[in-house]
Amino acid sequence: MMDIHNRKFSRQTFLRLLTRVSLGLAGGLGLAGLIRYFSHSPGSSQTRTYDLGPAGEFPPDGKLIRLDIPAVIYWTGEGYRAYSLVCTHLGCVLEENGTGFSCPCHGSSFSAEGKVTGGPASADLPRMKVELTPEGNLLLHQEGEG
Amino acid sequence: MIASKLLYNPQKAIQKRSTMPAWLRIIILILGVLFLAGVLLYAGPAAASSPENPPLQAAPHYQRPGPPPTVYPPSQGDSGAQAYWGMCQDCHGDQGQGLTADWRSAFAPAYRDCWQAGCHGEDAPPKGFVIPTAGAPALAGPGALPRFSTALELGTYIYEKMPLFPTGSLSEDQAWELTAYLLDLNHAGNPGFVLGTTNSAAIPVHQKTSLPEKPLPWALVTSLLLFAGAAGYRRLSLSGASSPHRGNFYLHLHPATIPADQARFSYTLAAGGLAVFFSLVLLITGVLVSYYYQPSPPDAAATIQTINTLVPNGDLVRSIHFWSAQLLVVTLMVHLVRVILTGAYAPPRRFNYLLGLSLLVLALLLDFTGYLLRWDEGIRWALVVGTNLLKTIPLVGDSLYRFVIGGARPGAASLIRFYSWHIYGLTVIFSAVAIWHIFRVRRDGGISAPPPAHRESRERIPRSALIRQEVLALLLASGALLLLSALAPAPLAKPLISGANPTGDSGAPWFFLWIQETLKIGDPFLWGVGLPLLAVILLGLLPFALPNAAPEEWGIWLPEGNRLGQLIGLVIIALIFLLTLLGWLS
Repeated sequence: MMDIHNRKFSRQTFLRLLTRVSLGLAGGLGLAGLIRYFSHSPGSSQTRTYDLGPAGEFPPDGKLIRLDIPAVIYWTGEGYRAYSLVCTHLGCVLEENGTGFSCPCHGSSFSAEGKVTGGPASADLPRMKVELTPEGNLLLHQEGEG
Repeated sequence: MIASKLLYNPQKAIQKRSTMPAWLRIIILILGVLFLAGVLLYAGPAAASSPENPPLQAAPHYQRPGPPPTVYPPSQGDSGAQAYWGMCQDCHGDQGQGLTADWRSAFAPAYRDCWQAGCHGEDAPPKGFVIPTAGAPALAGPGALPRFSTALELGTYIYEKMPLFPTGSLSEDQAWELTAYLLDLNHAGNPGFVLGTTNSAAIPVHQKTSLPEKPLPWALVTSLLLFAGAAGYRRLSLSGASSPHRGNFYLHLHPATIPADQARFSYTLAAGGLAVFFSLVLLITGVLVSYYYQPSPPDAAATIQTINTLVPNGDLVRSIHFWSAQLLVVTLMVHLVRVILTGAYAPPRRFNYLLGLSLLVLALLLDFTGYLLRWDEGIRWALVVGTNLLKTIPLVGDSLYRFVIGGARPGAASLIRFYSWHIYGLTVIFSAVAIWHIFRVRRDGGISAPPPAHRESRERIPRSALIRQEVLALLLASGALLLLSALAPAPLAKPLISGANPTGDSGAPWFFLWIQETLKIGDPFLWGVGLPLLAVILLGLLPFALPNAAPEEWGIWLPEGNRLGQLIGLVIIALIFLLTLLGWLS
């Protein structure tokens, strides 16, 4: 008696286990598929290059502010220097003030050379790479993210 | 495939450029064909990689580089390389470098001047080639192909504009093969991926895309697991060994007990429950698809191609959405036929019958607007005929048309209207009416069944048993839906270029094929608007204008009380069915 009862019990337990494993696996696969569905990220974050035009067009000791990049480019007798104009705090575009640049969002300020002079930002403005092509054009390289 | 590719292009090349007498050309051509046929006959496909160059070098006007290696089986790009070698490289260079001075210096001196029709000697078109002074542009390398961002744009351009002589002589397949080859040249190609009009809008020209693996095997495994789980679940409920349900909200939605008669599958056909299931699936997959879909004319079809091609499991999600929508319409029709043929719409269920009928109409409108969101060439009928039908309505027709279209002609404004109706307007109304309908089922005493005095069995089943039936149906329906969606992807056609002037033949979506057929009979207002409206009104009037089944007849098929109603309803639905079949066959 005892034996039969036990066997029935074990068969049902086995069936229940099998059912639960099947449904659990199906649910897990569905969930994994769902997570994968959201993993697609369109577009690429590659390095972008901006053509600033013939280098000869720039008068000596000048600067150029390009808010579309956004960046500031200085040129001196020694060469070219460019800084990103994205605030290192939370990414607002900086505005020019008398001595350098300030952030309209949270009031960080930077010197004309990109050093933090105040406000919540703690990192200096990153320097950008400027390239002079053999044809004499100025190229500005913006690092991609990630 | 390979044989035709090998034969086709060399012939063309020889005809174009040779300066030999005609008879010699023909003999060489015949010899070439025989040679190739012989090689293929004796050695089969393996011989396709024969190092021999058939008569291709017979009379080149320059030292033509040998053909690209023949690969078996060829990828789309490999076939494109052959076509490129035969048709494109004279102008665009053997490396895709363009018509550079360097490349022209490979030509015989007499052919180097490409702007005086010299390139092709006496085989040039009568008025000479009109090659832009800049020459043929480079097709590979940095900065190449600047005006194309997707493979669809590139492929369409090649198909319509290339080669220069004669323009438009490429088959659509060749245009795609060449596109694939150009992507390969620019290191943006994906071997094994076959470009076409329904996926190339998702493929960029200038960067390599990583394609997700196909979900088919996993979908099949999941579907099998669901079936296995359903079988085990059924076994467990039959043996009474399934664990008792803990109290929860879903349990609370059900009455404590219901008469066993109300839960018979042979009576309900589970149509109402399945309709709820499909509606919920539609809601979930609809939200998922809307994360990637952009409802504006240039992007709409392209984002669907992105969902299908680039988003992991995207084609599966979209197919589930599609199939649930089609099955919802089918389920609702079955539900309607069941209610008519059992006379279940008798009072007090008359009003709920009307709610159900309006759910069917709403589901058709949802299906219709959803199908328009594809914005591909498959929606022409709906966009042109479907909307122009509105204009035929007297008095309000024109303003109704403008209201639906959002302007005087179909365009961007129409798409955003269809989109808003589909995901907000109609969905909200449908959900509200569906909840009302289900609530009324409870208020009207549940699914129709004989009054207690007339019941054969007085048995009542507890809600736990009812829920077990529901769970079982849910598992089976999920498995079947997944299987169907994995094996039969939702349709998609070439993106619609102009919404205002779609041309070519166009058919209605299947659920409106019957209207397409009635439209062939005569006046569009009477047959296209009036008749469908009349059908809905007649169906709605059944419980109000005709005798109903008496309460003791409830809960059985074909009661005598509403015979006339059954007849009229069945005739209407059979006519719709036959017209649909007719439209489908034609």
